[in-house]
Amino acid sequence: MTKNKEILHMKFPLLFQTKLNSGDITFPNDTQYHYTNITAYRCIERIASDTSPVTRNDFKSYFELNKHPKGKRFRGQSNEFYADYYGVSLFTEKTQLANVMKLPKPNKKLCVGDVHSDGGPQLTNVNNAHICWWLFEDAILNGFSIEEEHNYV
Amino acid sequence: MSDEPCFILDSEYLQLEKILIQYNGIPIYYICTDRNHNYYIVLCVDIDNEKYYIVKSSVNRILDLLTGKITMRNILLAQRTYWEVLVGDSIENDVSQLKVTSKIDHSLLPIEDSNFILVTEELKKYCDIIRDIVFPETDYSSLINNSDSHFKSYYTFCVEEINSRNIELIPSDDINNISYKTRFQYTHSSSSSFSSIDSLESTTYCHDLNKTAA
Repeated sequence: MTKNKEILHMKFPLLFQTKLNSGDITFPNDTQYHYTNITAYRCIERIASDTSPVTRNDFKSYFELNKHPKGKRFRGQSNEFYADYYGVSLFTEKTQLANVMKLPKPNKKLCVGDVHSDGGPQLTNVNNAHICWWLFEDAILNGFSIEEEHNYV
Repeated sequence: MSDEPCFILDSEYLQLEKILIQYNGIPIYYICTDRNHNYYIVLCVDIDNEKYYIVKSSVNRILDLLTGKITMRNILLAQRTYWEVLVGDSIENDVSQLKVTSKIDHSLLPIEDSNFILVTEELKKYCDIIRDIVFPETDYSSLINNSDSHFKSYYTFCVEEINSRNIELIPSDDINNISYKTRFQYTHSSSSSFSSIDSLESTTYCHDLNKTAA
């Protein structure tokens, strides 16, 4: 492993570091490590009365939340999920979240802010505007805020 | 996509057809099909415990869903019964129960005004595929050559209008939803030579001329 990679891996949460160092997990080829800020939207789990600011807790990967499917994967999920499991999902276009906001469970709100390279590498899928953001342990997310009113048009 | 079936219901293996909504990478509202080309709508109602509601549907209803004619909620309520599936550690260990829709937990369903929006090019292409299944393509050129002068003039007029105004053709089986001012509808169906292609009147000869191509 190169010195640069080693330095990069040290910035991630410890268990993710271990997976990266052992080679169990590798970032997809097109992953961006240095990039200009990208404004993006994310659904976060919140009940309607919860107006507290967005924090790192709202940006935990399923790996950090220790959420596992009962089987090999969640039903309907592709095999390509593995790296995503350690990142968080955002979208560059708000309309991408218009449908999911119509589903009541889990309770959720929409937040918006900038994906930035100081927070970790990211991979954007231009076909569906999806961003997978692999966050560093101490990523700063205070640029994100909840949008109480949203118009998707 | 995985080739593994998503569910087994009444000995039918349900394969993933198209994911409509994901939440943080997990498919939560999607379409499955079985080997007999039956369509199913799948809704994940509890991600943590992996509980699903599944409703058998039809390709016509799927098109209605994708085109916003039926809501994500109402397509689930359209059948008398639905399956509630609690996922096990393997598909064989799933617990599936057929239940009556009148007793479904409405609080877990999409909200009342839940028209699905085609947000990606991929979904728009899928909608086109479904539309082609519902409305198989017709060879218009032979129909036009064999039709009467009324129809030919109507067709010529439409084509000129469409070309000059960069209009997108929207096949529609619901002409009542298109306002009179924006409707170009062939009205000479009484002519004998037209009767052989009168089935086109309700679908093809009805174009929303206010709809401009993207």
